[in-house]
Amino acid sequence: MDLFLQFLINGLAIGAVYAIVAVGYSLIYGVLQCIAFSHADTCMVSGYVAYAAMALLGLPLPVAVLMAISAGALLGVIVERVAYRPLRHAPRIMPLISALGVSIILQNAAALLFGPQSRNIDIGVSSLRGIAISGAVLPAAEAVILITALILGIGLYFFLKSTRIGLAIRAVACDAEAAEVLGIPSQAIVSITFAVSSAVAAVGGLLVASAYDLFPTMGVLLGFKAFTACVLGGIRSLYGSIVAAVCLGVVENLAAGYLSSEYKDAYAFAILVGVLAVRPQGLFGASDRRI
Amino acid sequence: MDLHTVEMINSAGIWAILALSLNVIVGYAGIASIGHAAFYAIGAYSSAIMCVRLGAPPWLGMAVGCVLAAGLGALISIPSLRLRDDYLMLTTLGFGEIVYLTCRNWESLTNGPRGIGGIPTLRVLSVPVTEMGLMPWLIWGCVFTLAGLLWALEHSPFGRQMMAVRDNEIAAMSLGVRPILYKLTAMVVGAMAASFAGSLLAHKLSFIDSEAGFGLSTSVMVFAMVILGGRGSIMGVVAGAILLSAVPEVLRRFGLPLATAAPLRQIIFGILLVAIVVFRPQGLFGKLKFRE
Repeated sequence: MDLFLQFLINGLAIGAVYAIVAVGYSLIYGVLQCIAFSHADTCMVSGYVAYAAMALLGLPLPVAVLMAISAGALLGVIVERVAYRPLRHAPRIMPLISALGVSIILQNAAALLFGPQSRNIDIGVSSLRGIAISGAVLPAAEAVILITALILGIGLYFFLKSTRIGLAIRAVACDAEAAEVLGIPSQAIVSITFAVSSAVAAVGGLLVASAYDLFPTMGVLLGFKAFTACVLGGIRSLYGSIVAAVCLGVVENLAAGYLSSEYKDAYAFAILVGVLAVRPQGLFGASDRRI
Repeated sequence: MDLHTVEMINSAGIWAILALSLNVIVGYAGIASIGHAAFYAIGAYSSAIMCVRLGAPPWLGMAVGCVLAAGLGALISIPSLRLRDDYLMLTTLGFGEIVYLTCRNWESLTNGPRGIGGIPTLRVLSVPVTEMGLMPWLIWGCVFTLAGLLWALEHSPFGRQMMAVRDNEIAAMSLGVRPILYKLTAMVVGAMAASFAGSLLAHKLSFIDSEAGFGLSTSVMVFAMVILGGRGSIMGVVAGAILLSAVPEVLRRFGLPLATAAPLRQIIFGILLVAIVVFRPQGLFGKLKFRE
């Protein structure tokens, strides 16, 4: 039972990281109807920016966090400009190829600059003892993940619900042409969506670097799992994606604990193929057009 | 020619077989697959395990690899019927990762990163196929045979129907063309050819391990060859394979250490992918116009 609780706690934390990345896929899919293939690599790059700021330049944590978030947002806007915008009216496969190219460039640029070994950053909680919950332990770094993810989720909810830009993002996601007719600059909104999603992913990168390992190709599996969560929850359903991401983290951790940890990364794939074969619109059936 | 040059010619040939095999899937059937290294791995490991562990003759190992790859290819073609490009691309990515993870972790079968050695040399009419001797002729013979087969496919009614499904699935269906037949065939043929390339690699190197290039970077490299050369263009794809497989050699000439050259090579592929789709979507040698 203690073991079960432990797997559950660790699964919730990694699931929260998946959710932070999945939100970006969902938002970008909303405005572009396209999977942002390199989204999880933005997460990785931001993690390295924070690492470089703290470990190499010796800057304090808040500065590093700000740098990572701005770098993430900037990168998102640049990637959209270079790899997506010229291909808006091209066949669907084209932006996928260019995004794959961007993904490879980012991964290998990180490998070139920082080497292939994994890195960590210390956000000042590594010396703290975890929180004991009836025999299981919630490590401090994972507690930070859960709290941050919760704050991000609530913040994003109000951003989309109550701000003019959030409203515009939802309008473009609903119908880009109609939004354009009503005076919403849809191109600018796409850029803003990339910036917001990438900034959120940057926080995810920081959390990964503090609680787990930061390495150049971490975006491949992270992105794959976040995307699986999106499919599971219905990619147009933002909150479906979040719930599915957390569930995926838990299921994956339980399966790794009780079945076999070597194939930990294979479970997400099995889930993805299973869902796509049976219910491509996702478990929460978001065939409606909200995000 | 010295050994190094011949080795380059041989490995370019294996890349060309891989690129041609992916061309069937990406170029003719229009299935965006970035998990192609999986079939390559299946061929290489089938040959290695059959020959070393079970003492089977090389052709049997190749045949087993082709059958396994064909089965998995058929399995992967099922989601391709229902999914759009982006979903499919991630599915194939996941498939490639799974096969790679299996090669690495199923140590009782594959020996994982420690690898399997002592894979016998191929023999053609009891003449051993050595790197300097028959190998380039054998490999490039296979390249030209495969290219010829693809040419025949491209100009057959069957191939035209396959391309019709690629260009407009609904229009093709309305004319009585059933997509499943063509997507399945393309996946199976492409998978078998890639598996064959893997078998050739295993016999060429006589030692393979899970890090011998069966991961995502190989899938991406083959994909880049097809995109660079031009999807659906046989000559283009072979040219793409030769060009991109020469990139590591060019970097080596600059005297870069491996830790720099390997990521730099990948960065070059990434830049090429972006540049090609933005500036020349049909590829360097492609004549096809890909309409919306």
